[in-house]
Amino acid sequence: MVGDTDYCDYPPDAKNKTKVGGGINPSLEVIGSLHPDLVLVAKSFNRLETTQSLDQLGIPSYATDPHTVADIISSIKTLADVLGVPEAGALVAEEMQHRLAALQQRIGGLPPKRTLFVVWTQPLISTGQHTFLADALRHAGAVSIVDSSQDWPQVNLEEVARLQPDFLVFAESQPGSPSREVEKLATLPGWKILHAVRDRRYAVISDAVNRPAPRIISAIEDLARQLHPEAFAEKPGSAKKTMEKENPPFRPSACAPFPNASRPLEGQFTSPGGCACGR
Amino acid sequence: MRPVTFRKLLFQCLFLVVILFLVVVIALKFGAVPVSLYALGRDLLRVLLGQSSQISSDYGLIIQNIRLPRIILGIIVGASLSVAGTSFQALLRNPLADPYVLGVSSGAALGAILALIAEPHLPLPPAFEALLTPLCAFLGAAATITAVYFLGRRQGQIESNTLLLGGVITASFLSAIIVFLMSTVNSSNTRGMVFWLMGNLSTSFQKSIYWLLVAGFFIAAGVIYGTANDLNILLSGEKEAMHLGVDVRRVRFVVYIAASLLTGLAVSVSGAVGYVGLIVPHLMRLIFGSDHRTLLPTSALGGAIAVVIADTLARIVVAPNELPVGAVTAVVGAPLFIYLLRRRLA
Repeated sequence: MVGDTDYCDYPPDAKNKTKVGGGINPSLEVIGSLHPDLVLVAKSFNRLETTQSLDQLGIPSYATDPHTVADIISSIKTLADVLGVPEAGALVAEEMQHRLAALQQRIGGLPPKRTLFVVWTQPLISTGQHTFLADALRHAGAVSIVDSSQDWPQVNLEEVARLQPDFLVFAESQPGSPSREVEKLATLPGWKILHAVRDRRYAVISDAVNRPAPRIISAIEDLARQLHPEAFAEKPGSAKKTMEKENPPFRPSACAPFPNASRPLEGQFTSPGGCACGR
Repeated sequence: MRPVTFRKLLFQCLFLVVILFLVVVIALKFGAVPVSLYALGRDLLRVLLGQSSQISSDYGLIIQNIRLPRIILGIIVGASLSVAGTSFQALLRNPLADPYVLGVSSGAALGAILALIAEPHLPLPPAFEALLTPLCAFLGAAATITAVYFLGRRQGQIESNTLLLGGVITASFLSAIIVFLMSTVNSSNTRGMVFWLMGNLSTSFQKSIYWLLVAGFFIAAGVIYGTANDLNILLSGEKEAMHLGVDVRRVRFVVYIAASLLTGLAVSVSGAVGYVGLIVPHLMRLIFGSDHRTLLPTSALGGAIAVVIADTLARIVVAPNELPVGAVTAVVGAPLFIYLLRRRLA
């Protein structure tokens, strides 16, 4: 890894890499001067023109445009193949799939929680059904009340008040700040009539859920934990046993079988940045 | 100029008030939650009788807390923009003038965007945090008004062309700063900013804000209405007005400040809703004549009607999602303006 964009903040070391500018307007000169073997782009963050310009400079690029969590996993595998390390990719993909399956076993039988994923509050912008974000919600035992084919629809607050979601879901880069957002909403007449705002039913997860990378699994697990705490409650004996059976530790060092519900997923596969908010 | 009798003005305004009322009823009826006209009438009556606690139905809360406040916001914004547009068209003696021509909206947008950037880093109480963006937008508008005023002065008084040039270049400079900021800040914020720039009535405010807006509107619009006669004379020429005893310097100053404040108030709560302040005055001039004593109140009502209709469309066209109201006013406004232009030439 020789360079990244101004907004790359994970892992912490990413901030020390050479910056090539923003995702929409990177400096081709800086990219060229770094002589990369491959440039990674995502259709939702970068422009086609950039990759065309890279082509002209003879710099190959690898693009992803995932719409589901499965897309993310398969694109990670393909990327590993492209990079010539197929075994590593298969390992990561396998672990991701395994964790999803384990989660599915744990909460699959529960009725999904009806949620509103809040991208922006005023105006209210949420996510459509064809994004990997909506798919991530589904994996976490949630269903978005927004049924839109637009990726980032502006949603009518009345509609939200009519459908009364069980939870509002926020993605934050820094855990802790979102409660402020909710306090703010609780002062506004239009938002106060939402039961979820009144009863403070909100889930806050890492903004890793917005990024098509392995960390999204931790964000999904974290969300599931907040939406379905009962499924993660430690029951003496039997529950713990089945848990270990379902979720054999992949990385012996890190992966204790699910820690109890109040703790974030520290130490698992993705490290602190991946899991915000242990409230 | 034909004399304006009080009775005629009252009749014209009453006519528009009835239309506005009908539009509001329609706007109340349509939305995510279906409401029958009967239930609406019954509940309106209860609200009027001060028995709003009896509205227990599931939609009552939605109407009361979301739909009605939004319609009221639309009325205030529309009326403010149209009165401001009428005033600027007279002040600058330019039919292309609208509330945003002197850069007030760009100043407000810049203020709002700075607030959006700064908000996460400021430790503020939640109730104030919700107010930060509109407050900064208004401060941005006020700063722009002041700057453009000093740019537009010549020999101690406002000069129309200088003011126009100063305003236009200020607007374009501020827009340049906005573009600069939006391309450098973290991309997750830009989505909210873009929607803000397009004009939007979906924002929810504390109840006190509505009273503040209503008070601000009546004070500023009242001040402008006080100069209606002078504006009429001013339109026939500056020298003539001076000979007729109009204090041109004072009138210009008062109208400039009041109209800018109206624009600032509107923009700080709704972003830049385009075309209303440009077209409604022209439309009203066509229907009711160009006497400002009639034009100002009819424009206010016409603007309110236009924005409430546009926002209702914005809410229902792609329901359950919605459009920014600025997109609707622009789509309807531009062709309408061309029609008015061709009609005038014909």
